[in-house]
Amino acid sequence: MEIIVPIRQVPDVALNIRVNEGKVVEDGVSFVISSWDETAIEGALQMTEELGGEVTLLGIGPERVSEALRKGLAMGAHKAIHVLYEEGQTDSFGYAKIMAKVMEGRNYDLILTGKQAQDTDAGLTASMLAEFLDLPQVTNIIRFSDLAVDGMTLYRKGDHGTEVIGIKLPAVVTVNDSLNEPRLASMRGIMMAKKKPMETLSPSDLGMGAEELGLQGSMTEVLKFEKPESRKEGERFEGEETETVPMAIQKLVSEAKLAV
Amino acid sequence: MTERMWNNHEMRSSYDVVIIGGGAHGLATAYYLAKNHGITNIAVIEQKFIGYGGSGRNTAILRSNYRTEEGILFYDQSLKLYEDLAQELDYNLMFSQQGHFTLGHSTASMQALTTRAAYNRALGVNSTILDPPEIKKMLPEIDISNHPRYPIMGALYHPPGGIIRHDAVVWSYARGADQRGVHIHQLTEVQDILVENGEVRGVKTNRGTIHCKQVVSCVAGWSSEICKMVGIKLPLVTHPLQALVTTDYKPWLHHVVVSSTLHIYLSQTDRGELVCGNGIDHYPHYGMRSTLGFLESYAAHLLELFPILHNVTVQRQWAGLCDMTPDYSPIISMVDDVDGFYINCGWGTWGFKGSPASGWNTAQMVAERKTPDMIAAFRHDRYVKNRLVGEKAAASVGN
Repeated sequence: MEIIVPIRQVPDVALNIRVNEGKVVEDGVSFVISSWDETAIEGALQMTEELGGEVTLLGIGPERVSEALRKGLAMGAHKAIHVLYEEGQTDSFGYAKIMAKVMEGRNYDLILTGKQAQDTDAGLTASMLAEFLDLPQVTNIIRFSDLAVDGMTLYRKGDHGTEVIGIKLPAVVTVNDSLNEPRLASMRGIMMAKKKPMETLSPSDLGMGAEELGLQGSMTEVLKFEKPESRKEGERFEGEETETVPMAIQKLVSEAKLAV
Repeated sequence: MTERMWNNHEMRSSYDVVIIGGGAHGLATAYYLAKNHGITNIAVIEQKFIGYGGSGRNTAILRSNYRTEEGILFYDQSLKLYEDLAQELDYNLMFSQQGHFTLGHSTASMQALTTRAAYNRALGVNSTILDPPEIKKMLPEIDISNHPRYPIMGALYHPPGGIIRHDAVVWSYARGADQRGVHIHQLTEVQDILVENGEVRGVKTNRGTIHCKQVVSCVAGWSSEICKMVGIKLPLVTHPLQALVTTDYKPWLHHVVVSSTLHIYLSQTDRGELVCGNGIDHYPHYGMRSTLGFLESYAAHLLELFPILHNVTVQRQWAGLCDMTPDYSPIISMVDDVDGFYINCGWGTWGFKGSPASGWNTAQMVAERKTPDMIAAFRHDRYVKNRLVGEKAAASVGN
């Protein structure tokens, strides 16, 4: 089974993200694989462990994206494709277009990726890719079964329960983080990743001109980022419970207008 | 009622002593000022939370097998203070004196280690040289064959060295200081130090101005910024240092292992994780970023020493800042031109192990307003007087 896993490198949300003049400050930011995409890598590895075949990672963006790809290779993916370009501002449509170009002429049974990227939360790229490639798609899966090279059963998390869907391959499938717990890279995996094949392509290698890239190749534009307003500092009551609890209730009634 | 380890207080408009930096050095200084010298009207000012910096980011290795007389005696005092600290502070610091190996991979490094062992023993510090079969007896999993790029030729073995729980050291010093009346002010940023006629007058913070006649700077990586406020230029260069922790395994590594040549050190915690540290990153930087390059080189070097670890998985990595001095020794010093200002910095990669002695001697210096003999060699003006205390050869890793 040949699986392509498009992954996105995002700022590590565990760190303090700074915004300056409407733009995210990249200096000092650590970048990680978007967590849903890590789940997709793990899912793909489990599938190939059962059926054989290879997992190919696909990353789009500047040089730093190769680190995310090497981390995925350290987890156990077999090879990677890096579309190297300073993306500037590219939206889901732009990324899906590039991915569709990468897929041209390639042999794959499944495209498996995260249900959305951790930074934009748009959740559109995979669906657009399925449309460009004219493939069936299932989003937000939490389980798979009856795995075969020509189809499988998928369990999709919906708003009011789980949909059980049979799908024929090739297809585009996106994963929910409850699908699995992504494995950690081992020391040997980290070392072997350096020797695994990484194909680096430029947009011109894909036959794409400036009009299809960045803002020009996008259908939407992010005008600016705004930081969420910081929360008001809470108040702490210290002392004996017999005193502090009535004080806290008093505050809740007088300031938060809580009905007692 | 919940008993708090330390308490929040209203900031007073004046204190006898203000200590900038709520890490192990600042808190130990406050604790020993209160305990040894009866000075309790002290504020410890911390811009984040206590233990945010190097105290919470180091790999918690303790040892005293240094190279110079000044270094050996200082770290020996520190290790001895650590030995009694759990009892003194009534807190389980999980200090495990499991022994510390510094591996030698060349004739030159074996000569240097042999000299260190001799210096250590002459000053009463337990250090000895072991040959590869003796190392193998104590570390059965290590590869002592001649297959690796850097075969092991011997080791400096230092039985009193070991590991401790670093957060517990910070918390227990904080509790000990708090119990004696010291005020710890977290999330408080120092914006300026007020000096008049060559004397300290106070500290300006984002929460108001504090009047005081003595200020101690214990801010490690941010020392250059604080010292700039009183017009002192320090020969410090700040570099990040990266570390990682693996998932937990059953206990198999019973000693601390360091290889300067391979730029690695590791130990196993009581919980079973391997705590692994590296040399400093080569570029000066204030960013605490973790890189894949560190992981890759660390994995290669670790597997060279312990091939059995190939399936060990990495749980987490992090970085801290190291304020490196030219001679790899700290700066603990009064300042001639600014009466009442004391510098405690330049702790590079050797700071955590020095915390108790650093606090003990800094407290004495502040209380007596003169430099204790133990730290006389660590004055800041040694760099212009060319009296360096060269400890680079005894740093854990090549750096």
